[in-house]
Amino acid sequence: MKSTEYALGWTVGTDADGRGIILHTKNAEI
Amino acid sequence: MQTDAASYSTQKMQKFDVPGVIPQEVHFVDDKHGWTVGADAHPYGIILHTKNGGEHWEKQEVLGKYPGGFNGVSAVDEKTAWVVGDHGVILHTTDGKHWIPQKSPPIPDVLLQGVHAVDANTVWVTGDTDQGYGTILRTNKGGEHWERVGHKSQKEGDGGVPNVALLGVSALNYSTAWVVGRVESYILYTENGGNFWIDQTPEHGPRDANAVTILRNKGAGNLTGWVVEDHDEIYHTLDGQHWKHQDNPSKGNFLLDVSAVDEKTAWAVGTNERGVKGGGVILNTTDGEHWKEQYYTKNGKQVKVALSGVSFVMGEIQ
Repeated sequence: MKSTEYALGWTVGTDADGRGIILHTKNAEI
Repeated sequence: MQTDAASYSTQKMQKFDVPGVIPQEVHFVDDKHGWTVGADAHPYGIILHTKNGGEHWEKQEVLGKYPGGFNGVSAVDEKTAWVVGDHGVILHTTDGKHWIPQKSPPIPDVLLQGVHAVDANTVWVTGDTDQGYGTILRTNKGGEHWERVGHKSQKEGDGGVPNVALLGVSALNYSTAWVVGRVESYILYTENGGNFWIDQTPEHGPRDANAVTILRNKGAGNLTGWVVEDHDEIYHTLDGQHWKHQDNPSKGNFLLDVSAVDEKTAWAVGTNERGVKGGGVILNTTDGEHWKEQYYTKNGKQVKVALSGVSFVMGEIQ
């Protein structure tokens, strides 16, 4: 991975109450 | 702003709610454009689309109702994508918005779960068994015509397809693909378009192999890939032929999906074997070998989340 690149991703599923959710992460924001 | 690999383990996550929708799978083509597919409460198939990285999700129209919902999505650019679902459903868009059902025979009326679009013309799909063997479909005509490949396996080593549901697929082109399957944790490989399948499974076990990803490394050109399975199992390949078990910190999870951005960096997600209330897991490797757990936290507390799909892409710092 070049130093100017970063990964960003999404993951989908359900919370403990069975509701649909989408989680998103951008590691450049850390 | 950190951009080094070490920062993955401490990243922050943002949550988007999608009321009334149970998302199964997600695929992004860049930092803004992506789809997630799943089902509503009935359950009928739902396709959600975003063009701003997930800040806003728009429900896209599909003609008719699709009982059982959608299970897989794969896109090649912001206009071209494929969705698969129950009852042999394959939907295709070429404008990023309108979805056309694929009707070309011989698509069996089975649950389809795996889809990988290599490019706008070449797509592989996998699904449940029909006529005594797992379903594997491919097109090189952008879906105008689909071909079911493989034949029923009569005995080990005959190049046939076993009588198990095939859950995931990853392909390099129209000839070379890997599929993974249920029950005996199958990893099958073809290099002749699916006429002959080689069983690469390193150790058969009573569990599902749920997803596979294979990528060709930039520069060196060799292959790297991962397979994720039930009961916390991860297998890794450095040549597309041989698979090696990788330890990881997951405990009691069905690992359901995996996404890699390069030969060292990948994520796997899963759902606890006790069900949704038990939560799930997010795993990440940054050296291609060692896996660490990542967490979604809210107000400093870890939140239990059961996960079924994951998609990562690379962005460039402007």
